[in-house]
This record gives sequence, structure tokens and C-alpha cells, in this order.
Amino acid sequence: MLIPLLDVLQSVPVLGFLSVTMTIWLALFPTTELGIELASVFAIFTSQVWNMTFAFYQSLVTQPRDLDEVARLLRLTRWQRFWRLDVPHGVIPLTWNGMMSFGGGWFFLVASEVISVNNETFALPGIGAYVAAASEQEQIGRLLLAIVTMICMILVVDVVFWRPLTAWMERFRGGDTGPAEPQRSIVLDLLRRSNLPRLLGRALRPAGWLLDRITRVFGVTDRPLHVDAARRRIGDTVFTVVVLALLAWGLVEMLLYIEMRTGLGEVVVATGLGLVTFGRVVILLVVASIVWVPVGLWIGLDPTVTRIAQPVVQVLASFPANFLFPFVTLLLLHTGIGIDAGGIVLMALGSQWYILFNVIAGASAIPDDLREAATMLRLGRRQRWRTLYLPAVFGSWVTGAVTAAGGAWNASIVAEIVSYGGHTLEATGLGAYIARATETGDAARTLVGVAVMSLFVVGLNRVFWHRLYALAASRFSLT
Amino acid sequence: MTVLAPTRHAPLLEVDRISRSFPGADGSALTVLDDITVTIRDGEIVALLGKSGSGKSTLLRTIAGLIAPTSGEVRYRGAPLTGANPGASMVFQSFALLPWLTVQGNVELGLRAAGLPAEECRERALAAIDAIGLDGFETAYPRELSGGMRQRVGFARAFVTQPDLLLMDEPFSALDVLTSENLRGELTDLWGSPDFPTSSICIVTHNIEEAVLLADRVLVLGANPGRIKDEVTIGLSRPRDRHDPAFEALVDRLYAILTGREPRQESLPVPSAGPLNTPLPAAGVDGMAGLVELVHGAGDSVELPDLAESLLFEVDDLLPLVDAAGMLGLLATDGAAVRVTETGASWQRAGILDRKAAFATLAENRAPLVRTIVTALRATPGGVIREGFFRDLLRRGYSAADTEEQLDIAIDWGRYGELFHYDAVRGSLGLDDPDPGGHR
Repeated sequence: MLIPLLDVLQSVPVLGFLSVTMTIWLALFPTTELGIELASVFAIFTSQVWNMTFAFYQSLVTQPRDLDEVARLLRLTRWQRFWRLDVPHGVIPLTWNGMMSFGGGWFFLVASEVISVNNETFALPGIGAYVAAASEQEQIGRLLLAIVTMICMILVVDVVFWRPLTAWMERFRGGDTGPAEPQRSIVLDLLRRSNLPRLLGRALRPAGWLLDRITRVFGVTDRPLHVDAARRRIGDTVFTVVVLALLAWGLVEMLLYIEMRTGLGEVVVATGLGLVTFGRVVILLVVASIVWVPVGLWIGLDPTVTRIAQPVVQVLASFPANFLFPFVTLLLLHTGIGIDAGGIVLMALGSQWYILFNVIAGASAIPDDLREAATMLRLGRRQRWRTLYLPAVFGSWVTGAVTAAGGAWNASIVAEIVSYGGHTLEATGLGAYIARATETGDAARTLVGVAVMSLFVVGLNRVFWHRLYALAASRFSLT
Repeated sequence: MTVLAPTRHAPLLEVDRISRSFPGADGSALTVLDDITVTIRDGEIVALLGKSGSGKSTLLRTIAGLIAPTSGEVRYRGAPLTGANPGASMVFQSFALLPWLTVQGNVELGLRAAGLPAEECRERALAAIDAIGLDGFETAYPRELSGGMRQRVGFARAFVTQPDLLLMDEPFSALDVLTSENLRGELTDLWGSPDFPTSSICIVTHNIEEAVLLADRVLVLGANPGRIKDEVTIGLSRPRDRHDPAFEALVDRLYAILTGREPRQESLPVPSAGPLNTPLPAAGVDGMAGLVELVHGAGDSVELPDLAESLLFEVDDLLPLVDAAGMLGLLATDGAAVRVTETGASWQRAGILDRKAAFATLAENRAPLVRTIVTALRATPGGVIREGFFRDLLRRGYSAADTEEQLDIAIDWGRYGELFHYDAVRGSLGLDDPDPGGHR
């Protein structure tokens, strides 16, 4: 029951969400910067928390049965089970997820530092606001400076945080063997050789034991053998009814509100605009796939190239694309290409890397046996692509394309209206609709826009991507 | 163990008329364990012996208090279980070590769960590690160890809490032959030593020799539904010698019990035999052909234990092949002896195409599920049916996993005999040749 809800929540476009929550935070903390600061932190939080929760849930569900049985037979306390079994088992998916959402986080951070609500523009001290101001005043030098700073920042965070973390978490990998080429991190090696971990360990151990004791009151991790089926059924029913009632109430309230403020006809308008943006997303996916699948395969099939290119792509993927928007806008202004087409480029700047990233990973996972077999069978280039490479990376491509599509929907909110200096370009589309509504403080239209966009994203996930996932798993899985 | 249950003089463990069933797809119940009563007393090793699918692991988990019986109850020292058995610890086939904890961390886990002080945890864990021959590996992680070493950690973790009852779920079957032989020997030695911490052992196995080597009593479980078929007391003194005639006699007797008294398809299946009450044994065509060839090579008749030993096979690997070949009438069994039938001999001599044709006839006449599929396909205009139809049919009598297995076996046999073909993309079965009896 909660799982579809979580699935929906993680698909809702965060930028649209941001404008809605901003109003709430401003109401709570008027006149101070704290309100905007909190709103911006809240936006980043919502952009990450749902898929982290989802990842942890997935890891709980996929826990090996015998480890669960060991925990119960040894009568671990709930606290011990959580730290010895649940958390270690979930560390790897949580870290990867955190890393991916962190990249996306930069994007939202930059977008949320300058935001217009109710015809008022708020700016927080930060690099995002710096870029916005530079773009306003047409200072290309400062823009370049900001980009260099950002790259440095991403590199530093990668080296001192994510690298050590990913190298360290290798020990939580289940199964018999470690990976052929383990992640290495100089920072982690340095830390390991220093006295710091030992000292910290010594200092914290008594606290750990104490906590271990105190938390015994939460009881052991066993579950009773016999449950009262009738009582449980009643509990389930009550829960379902309450949730459904809340949902229905919210829906009715929302529709009434929209009807009162703008009329339900607005939903049709927004849906029409949504179709236009949908068209952009489709074109983006098709073009990005045609360009990046071959490139990704080329990189992934050659281990040397992979080793060099993968970190670069990782950084590119976490680089907030909105830093580049002023340049593309300038280009569009000069060449006279309309924003209706140019918007696709803007949206692609951030999202295309997911496809490349995943295809590289997929290509490097193609077993050598199969490649050798293809060589021995003297398959021509075309045949080799059709029978081996493309089917083998299909699963990874789906994963990348889903993420890219989600990112593109999100990006449309900032990419369909752009300005440089005194010029503003506005495209026809749902993203521009939401951005415009937020700017003028039209809460009803913002709500309509965000709701329609969420429907598009969730609907496409359910109808289209889930099927591709199933197909990839049943036909094109390499295991 | 430190737990003192209400009545110390009650039997260590009583399994009192338990049954366990899982709900089928259409609400009908699928019985895995049927009316089982077992008593485990202090100071004995009991082996639960059975083929795969006989529910022996389910029985062990019920004893461990990990799953609840549908009816009946399990009592530890006279007190009915309400959760994980407080007097038991378990050794797993898959070792079930936490990969992110060191050897010492894994062994200490149960002691820390009991809330013992840090120093005592450490001392007792190191002593247990020492006793099982893992000295020097305290700080190693499980993935750095070989399978045998990992299972030693599993033993140490189980011993260290000094449980009353040690449960072992096929503890040696994930290890290679030599390692498992070695570990079995060490277990026997430990059992014989005066300071062995546990009072009784209950071991699940499909290996007959293992049961005779270790146990004081062997309970043989039959399949569909799982019930206790027979109980054999092993009166031999330890250490036991595999070549002792008394030992061999016991092994032969257990083989006969395990294979002999099952309803065997010596002749054509009785008319009522359908896909739901007569499952196809999990065996591939190549395996059956290999077995027939081996038996033929050994002079058309062979004792199963000898065959298994010469192949370094275990009975669990061999029995599905024997059952399948028996169902198709290629082999006939008599107690522990197997012989090639007339049909089997001619089948074995035939060339590839004739062999396929002969197999098709046998499978269609003798394998109930294959016959059902072929009949249904012939009765359908166009001769194509979605596999979901048969899946729904099978779900009335099998669990989801067993349904898939049954379908896979039937498809494998039918494809080999060119009775029908299978389209994995559409998930449909279709007649190869709508003309009955004719083969390409």
C-alpha cells in the first residue's frame, strides 16, 4: 500500500514541488532569509529522501532468508539486528543512490537559490545566485569563473567523500568474491594508515556497548509464530480505508480549489502543454540514445578507455547543467533558433549523461566469452551490433533512459523559460507554464501544472518503462 | 544451555503431530508436512533423511521455531514454542555468515545478543574459534576463507552459545567431497569429547552414508506429502567404518526404504495418474540417457549405492534420474537394484532420430503432464495454447516454484521428443505436427 505511494512521490518533479512548498515556508518564516534557506534545503531533501527510502526498502526485501533466520535464532535485539544486518546489507544501494541524487542535488540547489514567488525574487548567498546575477548582467567572465569553481567543488567532494565511501563499502558486498577491480581511494588509504580510526574506535566503543545495553528494552528481533489472522485483517482493512479516504478527500479538495480559482478547463490546457513537453522529452531521448549508445559502447568495451572516461562522465553527470544555460541562451539569441527547439538542448544538457553512464556500465559488463565467440563466428560489424552489443546493453539503457526522462521533465521547468541579460525566451510547454504560474504567484495554476506533470511521469513509468524493464529482465538479461 | 526450562526432565524436544500446508492458488491447501511426531532426547544424534521436496528443511525450521506449523505443536523441555527456539542454534547449508563481520565478530554475535559483558564475549569466542581449528583467522572476513573454513565459523557460532540442541541443515552439502569428509570426522571427534557443549544434534541430510556415519537414529521422510516413512536405529559404535558389513547393510536398507516403497511406475501408470498427483521427476533427457548407458555398461543391472559411489554422486542427485527413467519405463528398480528394461535397451541402441521418436511415444504415454499437454493441443483448433493455461491448471496442486519446475520439465521432454514446441516470447505451446503419431 505504501510502496506505490513512495513510487509516486519519487517521480514528482521536485522543481514544481519547490514552488509549492516555498509558499508554505515563507508563511512560516516571513521576512527572514531563514524561510527561503529552509525551503531550499527542504527541496534538496525531498529530491533525495524518497528514492533513498525506496532503495532501503528494496534492500530489506531482498535480504537473504538464512541471514534473517540467523538473526532470529541468535536472538539479536532489534537494535543489534538493525546495525549488524539491515544497515550493512543496505549500505551499497544507499550509497550509490545517494551519489546519484547528490549530483541531481546540485541542480536543484542552483535552481532554488534564486526563485521568484508572488512576483518577488528571492536570492540566497551562493554560487547559484552568483550565476543568476552574472547572467542578468551579461558578464561572461564571471560565468566561466563560476563554472570552474563548480567543477573544482564537484571534484573535491568526489575525492574526499564519495571515492573513499565507495571504496570502503566494498566490504559490505555479499557473495563470495570481491570485484575483479576494486575501487581504490587515496584518501581512504591515508585514513586507514593513520591512527584516527583506531583512536575513534577506542573512544566510541564504550558508547556503543552502552547503547547496545540501553536498547535492549526494544526487545529481540523475533516475531511470534502465531498471529491472529482476524485481528490482522481488521488492522489492514482499517489502514487501507483511512489511506483511501485521505486520498479521496485530498483529490476532491484539490479539484474544488482548482474549480473555484481557475475552472477545471485549466487541466485540459495544462495537459495539452504537457503533450508538447512530452514531445520534447521523446525527441531528447531518441537523439541522446542515437548519439550516446555507440559512444558508451565504445568506451565500455575498452577497459583502458573505461578507466579514464568513467570518472569524467560521473563528474559531468553531477555537474549542474543550469550553469551552462546562459551560454546556450546566448547562442540561441545569436542564431535565432527558437526556444521551442532550443529547449530540448537545454533539457538534454543535464539528463543525457545518465544514458551514457549506464551504457558504459552495461557495455563493460558484457562477458568476454560472448565477445570472443562473436569474433570466432566472424560476425560482421553490423551483425555483432545487432546480435550482441545492443541486446546486451538494453537493460542498462532502460535504466539510464528512465532516469534521463525523469531528469528532463524536471529540467523543463527551468529550461522552457530562460533569460540572458534583458532577453527572455519562453517556449510553449508545461515547464514554462509551471514556471510562469510560480512567478506570478498563481497557486492554483502551479498546482494544476505540478499535478499534471506528476501524472505524466507516473503514468509513463507505469505504462511504458515498467514494461521495458520486464522485457529487459526476461529477454536481455546476461545472467 | 543456560536456559532452564520449566521441567528439566521433560524430553529435550517434542514434535507433536505437526502438519504444515501452504495455500494453493485457488484456495486449496498444499501439504508439505503431514502429521509428524518426533521426540529428540538428551544425548543423541538424530538424522532426518529424505529426497528433495520431502519437507525435511521445513521440519527443521519448525523445530527451530522459525516457521509455525499449521496444526500441532513443538515443545522444548515441555514448553510450547512461541518464537525462535530458545535452546537451539543452527548450522546452515549456505553458512549464513554476515560478510561484513570478521570471524570473531560472527562468532561473538550470539553472545552479544545474550547481553554478556565484552570481556567474556571475547574470551568465549576465542575459545570456540580455537576449538574448531580456526586459530589465527580471528580477524579474517568470511570471503577470504574457503568453504570448509567458513563452515567451521558456522559451527563455532553455533557452539559458542552452548545450546541444548544443535540443528544442522545439510551442513556439508555445499562442500567438496574431501572437505566434507574431514569436517564430518571432526564433528564426530567433538561429539565424543567430554566437554562438547550441546546435548543433542538434529541433522538434515539427503546423503545416506552421512546419516549412517553420524546418527544414532535415522528418520526417513517420504515426499508428497512429507511424513515419516520409517525409523532406523544405528547401533554401531563410533568411529564408524564405511566398509564394515553392518554399515553397508544399513546403507542398503536405507536405500531400499528411500527408493523402494514409493509408488513406482513399473508398468503403465494407473488410469487415475494425472499431472497433479504424479509430478514429473526433475531430470533432463541427457541425464536419463547417461544413466541408462551407465547401467547398461555395468551389465544391465547395478546396485544404486555402488553406482552412486563410483560416480561420487549423492542419492539426491541420482534419484530424480532413476525416478524419471522408471516413469518412462527405461529402467526398472527392485529395492536398491536398478536394471535396464527391454524398452530401455532398444532406446539406448537407437540412433538420434529414432531415439527421439521412441522417447516421444514413451513420454506421451507415461508422463502424465506431457500427455495432458499433447491431448489439449490436439483438441485445440490451430494447435496453440498459451502456457498460462497449463500454469493455472498446475497451480491447483503445486506451489509457484514447483509449477514452474513441472512446466519446464514437461517442455524439455516434449521439445526433445518433438511433440510440441515452445515460444518463450509469446509464452505459448504449439503442436509441431498436427498429425498424431507422425514425427518429422
